Amino acid sequence: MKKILFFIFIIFNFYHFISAEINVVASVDKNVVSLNEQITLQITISGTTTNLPQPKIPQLSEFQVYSSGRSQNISIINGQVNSSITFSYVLVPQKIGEFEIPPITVEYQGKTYQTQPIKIKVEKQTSTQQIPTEKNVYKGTKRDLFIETFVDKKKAYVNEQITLTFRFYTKVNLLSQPQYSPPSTTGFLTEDLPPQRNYYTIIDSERYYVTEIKTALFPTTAGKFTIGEATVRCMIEDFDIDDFFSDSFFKRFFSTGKEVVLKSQPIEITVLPLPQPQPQFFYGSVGKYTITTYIEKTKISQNETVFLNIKISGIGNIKSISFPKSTIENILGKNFLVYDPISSLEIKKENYKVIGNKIFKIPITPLVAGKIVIPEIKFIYFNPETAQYETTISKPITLEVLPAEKSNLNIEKNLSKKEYQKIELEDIRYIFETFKAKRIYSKNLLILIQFIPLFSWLSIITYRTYRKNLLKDIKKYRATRAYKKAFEEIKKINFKDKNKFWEKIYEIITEYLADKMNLTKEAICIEEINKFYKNKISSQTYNELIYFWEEINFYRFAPSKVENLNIKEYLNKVISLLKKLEDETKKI
Amino acid sequence: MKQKKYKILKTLIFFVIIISIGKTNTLSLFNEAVDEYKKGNFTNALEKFLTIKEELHKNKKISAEVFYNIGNCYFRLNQLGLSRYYYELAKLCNYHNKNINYNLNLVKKLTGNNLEENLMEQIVSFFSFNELLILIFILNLIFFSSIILNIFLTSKLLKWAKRISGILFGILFILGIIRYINETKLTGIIIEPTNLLSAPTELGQTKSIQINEAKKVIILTEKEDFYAVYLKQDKIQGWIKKDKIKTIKL
Repeated sequence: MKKILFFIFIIFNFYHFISAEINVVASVDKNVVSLNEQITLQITISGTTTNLPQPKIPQLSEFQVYSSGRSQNISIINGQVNSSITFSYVLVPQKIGEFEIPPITVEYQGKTYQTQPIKIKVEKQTSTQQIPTEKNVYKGTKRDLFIETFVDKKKAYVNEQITLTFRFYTKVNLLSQPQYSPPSTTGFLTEDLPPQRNYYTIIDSERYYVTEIKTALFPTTAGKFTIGEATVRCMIEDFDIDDFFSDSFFKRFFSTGKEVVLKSQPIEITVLPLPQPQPQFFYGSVGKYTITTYIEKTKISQNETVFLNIKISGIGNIKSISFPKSTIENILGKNFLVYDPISSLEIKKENYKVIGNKIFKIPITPLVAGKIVIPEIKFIYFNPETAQYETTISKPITLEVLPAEKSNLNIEKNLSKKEYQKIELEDIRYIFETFKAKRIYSKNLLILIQFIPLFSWLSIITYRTYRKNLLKDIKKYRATRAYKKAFEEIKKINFKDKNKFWEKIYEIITEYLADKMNLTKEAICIEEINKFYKNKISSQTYNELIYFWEEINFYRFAPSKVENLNIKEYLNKVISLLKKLEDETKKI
Repeated sequence: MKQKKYKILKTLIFFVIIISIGKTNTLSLFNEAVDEYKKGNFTNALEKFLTIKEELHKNKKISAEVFYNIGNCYFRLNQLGLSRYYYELAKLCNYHNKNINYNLNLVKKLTGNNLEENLMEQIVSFFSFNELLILIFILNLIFFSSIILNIFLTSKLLKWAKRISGILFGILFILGIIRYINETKLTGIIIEPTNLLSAPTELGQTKSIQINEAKKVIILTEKEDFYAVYLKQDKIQGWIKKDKIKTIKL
């Protein structure tokens, strides 16, 4: 079985490997340039693999070629990988004339892919590109760094994309990451347009490193608006190469640099209103779109709810596309119950344009059985390129509706459509009309109690092992238990019968000593005590023991001699003696 | 002495009144929110449910019903990311509630996230973590009790109890460990469509992938305004801005 699976895996991967195709496209930002301008050449390689090859740039003797980085985009949709890499180059023309960028080749899996040749016309130098001389230029040594912002159009319709470009030019080392504050864009909805580009450019024979950030702006209402000033704060070296032998050169080693604040010029934008009269069912979408409709299954039963999917895809402000429920109700007529649509978005930014799709999922329930047609659905949008309202139309869908055996929707009762809707909605998503609040408990206690049975078992096992080992060594067992046993016996003493008291106390002490020495009670005598304790305990405790033992031995035969003695006090003395003996023998 | 007793009684009455006023206010606010929802004023209903949630939070309390109703409001307002987030919280409070699970699965289905869990995770998540812990404890107790009893007694029944409970305890213990590892991972829900970036910055990134709302992500680490996340279903890692994610935590 494993072998079969492995074989299938190998075949699948091999198929995937051989089926991977790539696509190569080359483009330039302009075909006609003057001698002092530059051209951006972009080579985009895309395919269903993440391992895309690099292009081979042919010899371009008419241009100086600089690489200005590359950007990669990977998308995974339903497990399908699509990726593209864009390699950017800056071409600086060297002479006037008409030239051709020959086909750029890419080799992949033994195949050679190539782009179309591109014609470039280089004209006479018209005017020298100047570094902007407004207040945005930092007046440092040799105009080291500056910023600029510009838009692709200064007049646009409401909701039409305006691309705002911010560029930061620098030819000096920066001591910190520049802090960019984007301009204020009141009156516009904004959308970032990644990726950020970094490349080199030549202005006035100086080579600058450029960081470019683009943002899509969508005006919300007609009128005149101003894009505020963008700001960049950065730290540069406080050092001038011209003053090599002056003190300032040495400052470089001690200086932490100086802060430079760069500001761009505000830009005025005129937002044009959309032409009047606006067509019926136009909901403010501007751009270029197409509509498609689909349904997961076309054979359903009468009371079954399915999702009608309306997908609107294209270029423009995808987020703002709307499709009111009332419009769908009008289109579908009385044959369906229509619930609130749920929408999902997918936005991509390709070539600095906001493109993507918005899917409206509309739960619908057919009220009648038979073949029902969901008619074509129109979506009207304003196309700013043609300055006209255009319509995209979906294809009709035919549903085969089987009659329900037991309809939840009690049609016989002639309920209104809204009442049906309420019944069905409550069935689908019920709202709780009462609530209970509870305290937040920690799970740690539940985790901790898991260890109780284990610890109980371990404790029992340990205790049993200890007892087992103890019983193996009877001498040790008796010695260990002697003190406890003596105490248990002391607790049982009856103080009322004084005659028996001395007998009992003598018995307890003798038994204690016998256990300690591992002898019988009868074998305890002064000699044995002397042999066992003489050098093991202090002489004071030893004398005390001998004294008490002999005294008690005497009292048990002549109890009448000690009638006035407080036996409780005497017992305490005995207890303290036993404690002393126990402590001192433990130390050995 | 009498004065002291009177003072204590007064304080007690004061607290009882304060607590009952608080409870009545929350209850009436909940009823108002339900009414607003029924009328279709989902924004108003949402505001009220959110206020109740905050009130409960102040008192270190939670309510599955409140979370669920907030989820419903967001669903109606077409904010499926936030809707899923609150359904997930509701599920943490009331794991087996049919309505919560139905709505959560519906949002997952609508946003294409219904295949997030593999078979093993589905098995492990059959019980809530608390239920699993209690079940493990019961089997743990039976297993070790039968072992302990077997030290003192010999019986066939005990032997079988030891074997069966041992096997079940072993299986559940492994499931419990897997579940514990999953539970300790910090997860979050993407609340609006965003870009998954290759670096924790919006300026320097060159790679980006569009991620739809309502996707569950595992939060690996954080750096400034970004979370490093792992998208289990798509098996990719990247950085997402913190304000686009809500972490699932009670």
